[in-house]
Amino acid sequence: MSIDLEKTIAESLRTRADGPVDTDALLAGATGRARVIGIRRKLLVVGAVTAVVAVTGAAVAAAPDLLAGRAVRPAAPSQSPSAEAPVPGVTPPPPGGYRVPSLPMADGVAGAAARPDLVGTDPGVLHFDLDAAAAGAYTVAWTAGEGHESVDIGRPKGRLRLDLGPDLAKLDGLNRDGVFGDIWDTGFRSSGGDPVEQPRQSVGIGGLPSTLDETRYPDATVWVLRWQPVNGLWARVEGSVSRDDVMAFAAKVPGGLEHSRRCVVPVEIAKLPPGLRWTGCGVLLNGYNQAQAGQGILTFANLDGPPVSVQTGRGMVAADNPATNRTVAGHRAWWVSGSLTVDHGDGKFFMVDFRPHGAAASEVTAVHLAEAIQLPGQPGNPASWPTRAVR
Amino acid sequence: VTFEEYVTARGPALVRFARLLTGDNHRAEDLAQEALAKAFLSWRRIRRTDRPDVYVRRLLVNADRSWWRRRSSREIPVDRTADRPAAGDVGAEAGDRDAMWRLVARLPERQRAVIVLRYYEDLDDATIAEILDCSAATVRTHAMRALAALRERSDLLWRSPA
Repeated sequence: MSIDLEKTIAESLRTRADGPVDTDALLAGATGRARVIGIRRKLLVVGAVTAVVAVTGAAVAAAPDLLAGRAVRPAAPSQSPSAEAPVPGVTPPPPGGYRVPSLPMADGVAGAAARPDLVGTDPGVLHFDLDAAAAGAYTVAWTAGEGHESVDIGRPKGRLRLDLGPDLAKLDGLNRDGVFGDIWDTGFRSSGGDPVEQPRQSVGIGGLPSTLDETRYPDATVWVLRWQPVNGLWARVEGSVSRDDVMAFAAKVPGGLEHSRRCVVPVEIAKLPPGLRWTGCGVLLNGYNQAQAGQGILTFANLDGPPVSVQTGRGMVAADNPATNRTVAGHRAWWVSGSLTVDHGDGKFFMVDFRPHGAAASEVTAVHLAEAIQLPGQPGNPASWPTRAVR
Repeated sequence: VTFEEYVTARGPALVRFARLLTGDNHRAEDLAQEALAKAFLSWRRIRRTDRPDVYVRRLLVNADRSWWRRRSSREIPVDRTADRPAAGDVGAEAGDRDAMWRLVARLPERQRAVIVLRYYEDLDDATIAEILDCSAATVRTHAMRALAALRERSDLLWRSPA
């Protein structure tokens, strides 16, 4: 049979696309989601670099690819809308300056200097420590598990980040946009101009050989240092402030490997449902609003389906949405687009989502996990959170 | 044009475009919201370009690609391929369109995007290239391969016994 192929294609597309569209709902949804993005930017966007990090109490239906990464080069600073006006998007410091809460020390747990093989193996422990306040932190995000450990320090202008792990290729490949990858990858990539990579330099960090890569963008420069502070362990430092700042930050890394801290979040799971295994932890702390400090994420491998995440934080979209459609352990809950948000009252929420978002989402799995979750402690006080999120 | 005016005027077209990219009405609305939310945050800049449609469609395509990158399967969800109605069937034309959509849905992501932008949005190759952030030559290559695949598969389908 002979057909007019292009005509049939056009007709089939028109037929398939047809159907009413509620523009009021579309407008409300878009602006509501934009407000959430705006909140997250206020929480996290610091200075001229788009990439922040991994953790949030996500409120949108974006995928929480916190600890899984894809981007292999530094994020282009000029792609961020924040780059248009970086400082106005940053909350001014409270009296006394920004004070980012610390994570509890893991006393008795060997640091990476003694046990480099443990880095990235226990989501409950960071086998290093760094003085974020000394680095001028505005926000700090820590992540542990899934083969690496990281700290991402946001400052009012610029950012510093350390990644540790046994596999340098994995560190280079981390998605440094974290959960924000869906937001910042806006398609305006070309408007920032093309990056210009400078010749690689050899430098020394603590007497050890290191490479320094410099990538220049039209309005900022990103430096990346790579070296092995201990046999079997790679360190990767990325910064956008100045070469001296990046070098000074890296110089503190070896000393930090002597200590360990706990990766804690305001979540406690006494018993994981069968089939789930805890794989990752991330926590975002800020230095200007204690009530909002302390958003976290836990990730889990799932024998029966796609990986699962639990995200905590205030101000989730569902918080002001009265149209609940589920009840979980007596709490209001929303099962929407393959994720389950649960309201524990007093502004405490969490969301169970799948990685990637919506991937073969199982309400049964989400509910079983949600039923096991408690939200103890005060929102902005890591010292009040369980020393280990998953027992 | 304000953002609200833009959504009122162009929102339905954007959602319909998203329906063709995703093959899923709910996902389409989610995707359109996501693209418009990003556009809202940069609206002052976008509206200065006097081509907001191009930018918003680029946002939508990128959001869709981002979503696809996280999927294990790159084939959009459709029911099994339907048998073509018998010749003379009053529903034959509708059946042709339905079968063609199923074939389009099975195209690789970029080829499908080109087909939708060319035959539904009726855009020229230069504009499609701008939206997809590639060259016009690449657009033509995608289109050529997609049409060849559709022609081959539709011939097979159409020849199959009812």
